[in-house]
Amino acid sequence: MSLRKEDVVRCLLKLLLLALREFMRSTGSAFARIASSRLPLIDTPPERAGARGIMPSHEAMEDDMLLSDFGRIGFDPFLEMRRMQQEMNQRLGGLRTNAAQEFPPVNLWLSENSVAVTAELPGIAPDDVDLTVRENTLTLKGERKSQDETSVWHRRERPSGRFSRTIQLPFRVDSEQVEARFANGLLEVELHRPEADRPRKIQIKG
Amino acid sequence: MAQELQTTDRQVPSKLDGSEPTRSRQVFVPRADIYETTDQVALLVDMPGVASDGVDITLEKRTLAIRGYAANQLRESYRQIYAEYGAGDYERVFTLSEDIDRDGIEASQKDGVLRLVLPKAAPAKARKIELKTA
Repeated sequence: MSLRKEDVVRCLLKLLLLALREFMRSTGSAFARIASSRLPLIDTPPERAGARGIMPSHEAMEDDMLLSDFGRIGFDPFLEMRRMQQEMNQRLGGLRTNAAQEFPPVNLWLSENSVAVTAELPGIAPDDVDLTVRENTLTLKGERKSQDETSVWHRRERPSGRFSRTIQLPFRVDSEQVEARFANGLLEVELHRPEADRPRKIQIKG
Repeated sequence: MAQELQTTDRQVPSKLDGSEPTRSRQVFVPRADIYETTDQVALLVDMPGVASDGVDITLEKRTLAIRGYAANQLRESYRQIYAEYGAGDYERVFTLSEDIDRDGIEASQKDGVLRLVLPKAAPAKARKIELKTA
């Protein structure tokens, strides 16, 4: 089978155009994601890593049908491109939450008469954390030691040094009633509301 | 007191081989320190919430895969009002640049940090081949 020169050129042009369109779409969607992102103060459940891409989107399905001819000749440049787009979206999707956070990151949990603070403190011995409670604040203090061995570093991503963080709690807490647990690098502090501050239910007399 | 410690975001979904886990759970790329001494390579991986029985390490040729499965943190009668970190599993794969003595690998998990010591394999000894003279 012989190919004419014009055919080849036309085919290449078409390919380039489609590629450009695909690329525009991929970057477009990624940037739209950034633009619409907001830092959640009271957190909604974060987007699950696996949730994306279980169902093919309408767009992707359309492309599959449109590009099925490429699959027939054994080479599909758009498959690669879609993969790239997915990866880019995932990478940029990670920017959504926040760039740099304070150490340690904390979660706050609330129940009727108590509040629980959990913090990620990997690599810190329970004795090295200093907890102080005052009125409605909890302060975490400590130090994370770094490796002192003289060696060649390949990667150094784990933060080290002294840290101090004060967390404001939603209500005043009883400094006598504090329970702290530490397991597998997760600190859990449970603080209770003082008896006098608890909301009282008032009965209505008939 | 000023904040001396800042951590960068690590909410990047891991993508080892393009597939996705069946469990709909967040998967994080854990932060790691890697350093090398003359006779070993050591890895420190932050995996808070992972107990020692939840760690899975595989070394295939020069590919070292580390997986950590965190226990579910369920709190009855509590509701979450603020979150800075998410609970989930950890996954990270490294390609080693040196030959490793497989039998000498040591791993330990303490306070949510995995410590992996990979001793380097002894360099292949140069062997002199002598010609036999008939």
